[in-house]
Amino acid sequence: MNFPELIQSVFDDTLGPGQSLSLFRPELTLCATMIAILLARMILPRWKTSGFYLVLLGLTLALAFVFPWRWFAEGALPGQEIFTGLLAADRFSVALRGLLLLFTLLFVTFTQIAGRWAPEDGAEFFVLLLGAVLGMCLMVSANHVIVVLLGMEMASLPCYVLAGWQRDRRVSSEAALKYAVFGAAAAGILLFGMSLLAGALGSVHLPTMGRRLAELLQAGVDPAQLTALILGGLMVTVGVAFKLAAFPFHFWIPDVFEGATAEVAAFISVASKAAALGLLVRLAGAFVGVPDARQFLVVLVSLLAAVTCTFGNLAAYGQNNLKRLLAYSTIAHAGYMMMPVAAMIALAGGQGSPDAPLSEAQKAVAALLVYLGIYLFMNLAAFAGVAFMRNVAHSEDLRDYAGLVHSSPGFTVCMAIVMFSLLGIPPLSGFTAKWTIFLALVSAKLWTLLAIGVLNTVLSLFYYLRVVKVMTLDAPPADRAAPRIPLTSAAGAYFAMLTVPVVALFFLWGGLSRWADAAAQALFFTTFGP
Amino acid sequence: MSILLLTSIFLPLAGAILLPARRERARGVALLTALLTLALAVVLVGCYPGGTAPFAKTDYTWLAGSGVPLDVRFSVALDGLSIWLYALTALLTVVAVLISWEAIAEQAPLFYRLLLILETGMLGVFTAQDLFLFYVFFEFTLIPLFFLIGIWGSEERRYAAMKFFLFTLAGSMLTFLGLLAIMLWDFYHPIGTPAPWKMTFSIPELTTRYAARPMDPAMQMWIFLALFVGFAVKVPLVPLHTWLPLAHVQAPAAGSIDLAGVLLKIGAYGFARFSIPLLPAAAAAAMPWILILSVAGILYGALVALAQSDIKKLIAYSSVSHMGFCMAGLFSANRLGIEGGTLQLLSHGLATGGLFALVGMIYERYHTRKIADLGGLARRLPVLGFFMAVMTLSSIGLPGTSGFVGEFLILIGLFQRGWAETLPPDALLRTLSVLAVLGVVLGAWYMLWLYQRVFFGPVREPQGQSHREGDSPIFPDHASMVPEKSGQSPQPPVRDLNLREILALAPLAVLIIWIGVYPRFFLDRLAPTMNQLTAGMRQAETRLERTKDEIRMTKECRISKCRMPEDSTDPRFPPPRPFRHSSFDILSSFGFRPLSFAKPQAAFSPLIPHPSSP
Repeated sequence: MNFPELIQSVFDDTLGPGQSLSLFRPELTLCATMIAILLARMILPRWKTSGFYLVLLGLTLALAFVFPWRWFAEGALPGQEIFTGLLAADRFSVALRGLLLLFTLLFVTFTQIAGRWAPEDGAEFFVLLLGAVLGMCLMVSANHVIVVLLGMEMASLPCYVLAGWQRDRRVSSEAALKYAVFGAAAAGILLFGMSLLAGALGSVHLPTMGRRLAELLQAGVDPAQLTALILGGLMVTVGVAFKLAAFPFHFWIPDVFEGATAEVAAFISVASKAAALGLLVRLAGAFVGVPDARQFLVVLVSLLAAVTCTFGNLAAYGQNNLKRLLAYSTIAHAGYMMMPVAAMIALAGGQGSPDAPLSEAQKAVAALLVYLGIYLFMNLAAFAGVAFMRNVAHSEDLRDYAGLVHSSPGFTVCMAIVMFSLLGIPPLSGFTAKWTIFLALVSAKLWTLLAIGVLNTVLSLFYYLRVVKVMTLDAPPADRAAPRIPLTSAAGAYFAMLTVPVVALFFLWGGLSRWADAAAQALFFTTFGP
Repeated sequence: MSILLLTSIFLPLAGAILLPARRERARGVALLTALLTLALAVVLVGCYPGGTAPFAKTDYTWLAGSGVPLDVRFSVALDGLSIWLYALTALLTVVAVLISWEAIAEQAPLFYRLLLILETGMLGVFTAQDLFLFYVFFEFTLIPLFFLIGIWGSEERRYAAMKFFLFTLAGSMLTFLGLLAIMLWDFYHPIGTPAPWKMTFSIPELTTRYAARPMDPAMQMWIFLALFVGFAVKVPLVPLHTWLPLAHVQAPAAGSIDLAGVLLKIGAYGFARFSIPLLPAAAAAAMPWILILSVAGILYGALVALAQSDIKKLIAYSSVSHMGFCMAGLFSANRLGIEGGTLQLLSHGLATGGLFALVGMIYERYHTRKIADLGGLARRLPVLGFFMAVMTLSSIGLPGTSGFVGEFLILIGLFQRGWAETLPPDALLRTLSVLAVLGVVLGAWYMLWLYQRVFFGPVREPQGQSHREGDSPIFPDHASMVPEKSGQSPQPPVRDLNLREILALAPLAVLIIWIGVYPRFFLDRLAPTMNQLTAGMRQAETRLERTKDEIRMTKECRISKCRMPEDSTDPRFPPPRPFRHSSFDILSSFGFRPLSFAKPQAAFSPLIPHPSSP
């Protein structure tokens, strides 16, 4: 293939009938919005609303371009590679990008209601935010090592800055520095691991890497090469585990959450996790076709999930700062969410029953998506509650929540609902989320992991219940005015609005489940097609 | 009918949501809602035809995933096991609302809301015909009760609420695993050649399927143990009972009524609904252990009750004792015992619910629950004394009251099992039956002693306290009337029961007498379902007997050096049968030694018919 032909083929792929660019419209919209915000600020310096409406418009447009409702129609978007294999465009990426953009839409509204930065900083905040979301969108559709790295860095760098947003506070700067240093180290390890894998396998295209690995293992592999492969796999896992805050690489989360504002913590805990999980599914999905790699990965991911979950729940016990408590709860939930990934890897070898529209492995991915869809509302609501309380009571300490039920009953009821849902008892959607992942573990026959998951629910019982107990049963402190957040205020109404899906998704879980099933359909045919 | 049942379950929830914010109106609406629910329940009970078919069934698809073989249904119905517990719940909620009329002053609308939400949860537990739905309601009852105890309880309410929640939820997590395993085992062992590609959660369907194709015994034992933890915490069986006295004593009167009257029943209900019909071999094998725990609970609860100085604590421990009777009856594997155990659930709910209500009334008047502070109240409050007498006598088990019927049937069941139905006579069963009788005697002792100390003798009222705290909000006019230094007992205007309180207690008393005088009405409605549900366990238990018999025969033959006749027609020497579901197999697979081995007897007594012989 000579140079003009190459150019022609790239041109065809981008603008031709393959329509790579049209499937990339959400990301392009995000880029355009970022530029528009910066330009608007330059041209209209007195425009104090700081681009909030521009962001809303841009995000709505992007969400419309993702088109999560159209692609799930029968037979639409069976899954394809775009930009000559750099990105995967399938329903899974549509679903996750839809979730991310929906979350960002809710999140931007939330920052507008709760945010407390000087108006002139608003534009930068939104630009950084959109940049991070752009990176996350790339992460969940990554089909190529370069995009994995690019996406992860694009998602991480803005987050470092966002963590240190309150420049005048020492803890905030400390949080940003810690996050940046650890993040850089993790990115370096990931890069090293990727280069080992790419070197050993001779490709940077993820599905090709999987195929090469299968060939290599079939032909026989010498020990040095095997060491390189295992080391590479472990290092990539370290990089992803850092983004996920899985157990040995979780230590940044509590400090970062404590230093950052509750808003940024909500963003990192939901969006960043969702993207990292999507990336984990992509990376694992590339190698699950190889039996040896599958066994290796099942043990690795199960172990990470079990330890992360247990550690998060145990460490949350002693916390008196609610944001720190939620940080550990986030770690525990990351553990829960890795469980269906382990199930997916374990099940990837088997064939679904012939009359089932989904294979067992795809069902596990659907379980992950259900969990993510519910977790989005639960965790955003939890952090929103913390932020609204901070605005009123100027404290994130659990003691200052004492007797909140007397002064703000509606707010307390919503907060209690969120806590019980995070704990996962019926009739709240947190139970639905746990139920679906437990079913996935059952079909993968990962009994130990199932037992650990259930026992962890018992472990987590105490600290969630303590928050509820402090708010409702303890006497309000006498020395200060009780904080008041009526449900009729903007904050209260927003909080109540977030609580509605937390309850409703339990009763109307069928829709979410069907949506997740449709998203998971045809997932592996992009990476492991016939 | 089915629309009535559906309405009665969700009416309290609707009432809770629509409750007005003012206290006077809130309690009025709450009472109205509870009464309407009770009216619906009475209609349903009146129309209940008996038999084993589910009554007033509603069945909707709830969660049937397109890609997942889930088939969770919203399915509610009544049957012989649930109908009386369902009606009891509706009745006791009315009592609870009436009891709280004056007692709850702070945040009353929230209180009634939680009470009504709790009612929906409890009604749902008893009517759910779907595993998933059952678990949802089962857990859901915890949340309102947590707040009821934690906000309106007495001094140690926070600790009590936390302990109650932790114990119950920790236990129910294992129950959750057990229920999950029941559903999955069925899914992975389909009946018939074409695998029905769905996970069925329907309890009646699972029950018939498990009856047609029992699970292998070792597996049954594991699942039984998992279910056991959650249900035994609820009942509570003895080593897991420690949350109960605390929660009962600290809860407000209405909370205690619901807790003792209904929530404890959920544990026993779980055993009767899941453990016994679905895992019959394990239930039969676990029978000696459960009986030991139950009888230990009967005696332990009674002995500890004897030592109490607090009326509420005494009744709480008596609950441990009485629930021991219920469990002993259910696990006696004898029809009379099982019917008695189920009836005793109802009877205990009425009597103990009434007792807790009465303690609440006494507390409202005197602000004390100490037995030592009170005396001669029968003279002061004759009507209260009358109702207390009725409840006490039912609790003791006096003939003519409901307690007698329940406990008598349970004891008959145990004795039949110990003497007539077990061959050779089993020393353990016999000892347990006799010890259970001892529990009745102890029950009479502590309840009558309580009644004597509080209601008879010289009038003794907490004078010192009410004198010192002249501005006590309960009887403000009392202090003004009492002379400063009076040697004799003053005449405090502590009023007797008013009409509202009498109306709260009268239905309980009427039902107690009704069950005591004419139990047929109640037993007829529950017996067919209970027989069906426990048929598997009784059969497995009979198999256990035959196994013992065979062992004895073998040993006898070895001793007398005779050969076992291979094809004997002599009924004394039945040909050895291959048995697969023997409990001994299960036990030995767990490494247990069978507990109920009996010494071989020299001669076979032909007076007692063999259970398997026609």
